Amino acid sequence: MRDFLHHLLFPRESNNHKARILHHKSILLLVVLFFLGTFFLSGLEQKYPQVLGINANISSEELLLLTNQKRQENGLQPLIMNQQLSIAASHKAQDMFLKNYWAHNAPEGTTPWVFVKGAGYEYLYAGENLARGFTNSADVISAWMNSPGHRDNMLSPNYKEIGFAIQTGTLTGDDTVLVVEMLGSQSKIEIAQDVSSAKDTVPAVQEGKAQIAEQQEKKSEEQRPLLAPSRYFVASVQTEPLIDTWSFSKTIALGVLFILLVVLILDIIIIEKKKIVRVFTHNLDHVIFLGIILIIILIIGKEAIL
Amino acid sequence: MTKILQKHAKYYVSLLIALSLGGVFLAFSSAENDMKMMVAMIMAFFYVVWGIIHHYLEHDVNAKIVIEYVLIGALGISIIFFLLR
Repeated sequence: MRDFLHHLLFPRESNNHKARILHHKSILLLVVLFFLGTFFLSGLEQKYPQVLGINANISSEELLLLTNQKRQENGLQPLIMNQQLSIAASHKAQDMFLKNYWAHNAPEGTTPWVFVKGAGYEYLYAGENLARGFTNSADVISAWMNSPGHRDNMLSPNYKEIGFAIQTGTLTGDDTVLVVEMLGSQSKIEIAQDVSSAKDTVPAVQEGKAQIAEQQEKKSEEQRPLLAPSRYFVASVQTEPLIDTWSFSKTIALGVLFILLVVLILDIIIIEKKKIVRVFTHNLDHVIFLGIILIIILIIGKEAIL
Repeated sequence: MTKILQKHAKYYVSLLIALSLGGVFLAFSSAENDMKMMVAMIMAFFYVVWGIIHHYLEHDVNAKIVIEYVLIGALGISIIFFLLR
């Protein structure tokens, strides 16, 4: 075993002074194994989601609690959970999975407000925050709070109510947990409380940003989508497979790259020390290329907010 | 090692800059996975071409060297594909 590992990882006479793992056949084998592994894991994930899948624990109750904690820390009134906004969020999430888009507006131009109105929520102000790829509620709130546009939405005094949808699915080729947060205040509540301030409010529409507010008086004539009863309504996603796909894939990729980089660097040192002449002496090129791939894998994450 | 670095400094700097640009996109962009795979493939293709040109300028390019660059480039692509599938 020791001899085999030596043969595999260090340059010596038995491997023609080049670690066996760096031979063309070995690299080709690794390439084939990674491609086969990709399809094997995808199949396993689909067939046995309890064994291999996304590990996530996000609930609307926890999201509401954490959002209100942040609001109270900033001297704002807590938000009240509104089922109409939750239904709107749920239909928005369904629409995103169905049409496969990661954006506030659907590819054909449908805005989030169509879903809000479609759920029967007559808003004075409405806002939407999106998150994907997170595994727990605290990280979602933390990411939104660290983004100025999303933070403004969460800490806006204009909003009185909130609704969430948390759903799993495949979005832009990625198996993910999607969180849709809809914030709003209803016209009748606002008008009853402060008619004059509502009339004086200037509509603030910031395209491309998370925070969008509209005046009730300037409501567009957008067609309301046909909404089924709230059978899609999902208050939480709690999945705990035996193995988390993302962590598993990342560990394997990092492990293989780390071993290859160590072997390549050792190869450079040993070859130079022993003054061995070889056809290929530019291992440093491979170290740079594979090193950058390793750094990418270390940094890359599945989490995103919009 | 130091000698190699000094001799090929400009080549390595160009490689580092180009690959880092692709790396930053892959690591920080929220683009779709297909787009990320495309960038990974462009990075690998650049690496292969860069390697061949480098050895051509050193007058030591041959089939074995070309195959080695192609295999390492393919390994990079397969690892990114494995992760982003």
